[in-house]
Formats: sequence, structure tokens, C-alpha cells
Amino acid sequence: MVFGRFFDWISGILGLRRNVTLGIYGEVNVGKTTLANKICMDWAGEKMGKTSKVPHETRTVQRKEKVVIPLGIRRKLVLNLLDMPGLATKVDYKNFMKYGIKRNEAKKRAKEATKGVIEAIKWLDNVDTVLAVMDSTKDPFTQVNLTLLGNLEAKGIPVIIVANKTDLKRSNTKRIREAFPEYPVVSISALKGEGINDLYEAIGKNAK
Amino acid sequence: MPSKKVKKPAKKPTAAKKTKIKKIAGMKLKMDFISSNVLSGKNEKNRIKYILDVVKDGTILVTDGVMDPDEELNLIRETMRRVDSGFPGIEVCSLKREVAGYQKVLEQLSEQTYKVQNAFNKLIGKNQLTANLKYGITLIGPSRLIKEIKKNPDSFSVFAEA
Repeated sequence: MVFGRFFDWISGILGLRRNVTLGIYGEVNVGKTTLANKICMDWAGEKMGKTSKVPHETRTVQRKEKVVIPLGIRRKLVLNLLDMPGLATKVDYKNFMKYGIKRNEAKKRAKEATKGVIEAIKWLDNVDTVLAVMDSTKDPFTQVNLTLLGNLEAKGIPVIIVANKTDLKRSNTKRIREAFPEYPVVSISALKGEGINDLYEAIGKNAK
Repeated sequence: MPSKKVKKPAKKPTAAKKTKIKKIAGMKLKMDFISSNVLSGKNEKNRIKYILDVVKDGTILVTDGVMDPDEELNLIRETMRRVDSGFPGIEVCSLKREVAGYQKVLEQLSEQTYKVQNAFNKLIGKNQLTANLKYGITLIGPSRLIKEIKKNPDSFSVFAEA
């Protein structure tokens, strides 16, 4: 164990190994957990969290440590991967009832979701790099996206915009690229795995 | 044989149109337009409290200033603390006016002064200052009234229903 730590330290000094806390942020139901699952399946062989069509399925920060992504022959990126609850300015329990959830359960879920949003905001001080996930079938010019990107810029945290859901017909990644020309944008389908290698390349290039 | 001009009967309004008209006639929305001076005079905590008190009361607030991104996050955080079955949250939209020339220099100078002052205040244990509002316009309203906001880089449309 001591030898392992020493080896990690030496690898860090030689620049062969980089440890990065990578936060997956975005609005509700943009596919953050689907992406986290894809990354975990590819590099750790197991899923990270449960996905659902019901909004606010992820209500606490999900964490997966030591997800190793190889960068070339000797170098590697060690990720402390954080799947965040979706950011929102509103949580209406009545929306959950549309999915067949009973009133009391829906209220409980809403309460947990509000706590999740607060927790996700708190974690912004502890991440090294952020994947800002956006649903490419929807308008990217939302206040939540703008507030998130504005904050990351002010804190000097590197960000990669992930234009997700390219497998859907209404997907329009051009709209996201035009809306945020100053950021690296990677188009993917986390569900189908399309473009995922481009994302790993972008993480290797931008993560600090 | 000369053709006869047949006068078409005037179209009767459809049921959907009638409903829409009725809804508009019965709609009551309260909007407060406040000067940024009202908010600038308060510290961040009181500013957010003021906004949420007004919005939770069912009023749409419009002001001639834009909050700092950090303050916007704090507004979201505080909103989440206040969410209950009668208040599902807020809708926010802001348009920042891009400033140029001396105004930009002044804004950057003000930001730097604020950061230095806050760092110094932190060191000596004094209260943190609140950043000035930036040039622009902000609309904040209760999400149970604001159904949708369509935003473009230079404009936004608000769809509200009481």
C-alpha cells in the first residue's frame, strides 16, 4: 500500500498521472446520470446510478472514485467522478404526480430534490473540471445554463459543454455551439455511445 | 348570365378562441418595476430576501440591473430552501448589457475593488460586501405564474398566466 502511494506520487511528479475531480452538471433530465453510467461502464465496469424519465431521479451527489482513463501509452487520468443532481430554479411536486407518483411520495421527492440542488451548488467549490451537459433537442439559452457557466468562469474552473441526445431526431447541436462559442462543445449520445471518444479526448485535453 | 356575388357569413369565433379571450379578460398579474437603487442599497442576504418575499407573494419583479453569477446561484439556493407545496420556485431571466469603453473600465475597476475589499474584510473578520448590480435587466417571478421564458441573446419573451 505504501509502495502504491509512493508510485502514485512519483507518477504525479513525472506528469504520467493526473488526478481530477470531474463534476457532471446540468439541468434536470439532460442525461447526466446516463453519461456518468457510460463513463463508469467504459472505465470501471459498473454503472453509477439509476436513470429515469421522472425528473430529479438523482437527488444526492453520486460519487465514483479512481476511474482511470488512459491518455496515450503511459499517461493516465484518474477521475473522481461526481454525478450531480439536476440544477433548477423550481421543483413542483405536482410534476411528479403526472408520472403516477402519489401526492405524499411526490412531496417527499420534491423536498429531497430541493436539497439535491443545494448540495450540487455547494459542490461547485470542490470540483476541478466540469462537464456541463445540455439537451441538444432543447433551447440552450436557459438561465440555469447561463448562471452555471458564469459561475464556472468566475471561479476559473475549466468546462466542457456536452451536447447530449444526438440520437434524437430533434437534436440540434449547432444551436449550442452558436450559443456558447467560447467553450469547447462535444456532441454525444450518452445512451448510444456516439461521440464518446471525442469526449474522452476533450477531457484529457481540458481537465486540470 | 352575370354571376351573383354571394356574401359569406361572418366567421363565428371558435370555442378555443372564446376560451382564450375569457382567460385574458380574467387574468390578473402584478408586476413591480423597481429601480436597481432599491436592491443596490441592500447587502446580498437582504437583497435575496427582498426578492423572494416579493416573488413568493405572487408578484413579478423587474429591475434595471443584473446580479453577479455567484449571487444568482445564492438566489437559487435560497429559493430551494423556501420551496413548499404552495411555492414551487421561481423563473429568472436576465439580459446583461455589454458595456464598452470607459464604462467597461469602470465596471472592471469596481469588480476588482470589490474583490480586494472583500479579501481584506475576510482577513480582519468584517462582513463581506455585496457586488453592485451590472448593467442590464432582470425579471424574476413565481414559477406558478410564469409558464415559459424564451430567451435569445438580445431579448426574451415571457409567457405568464394567472
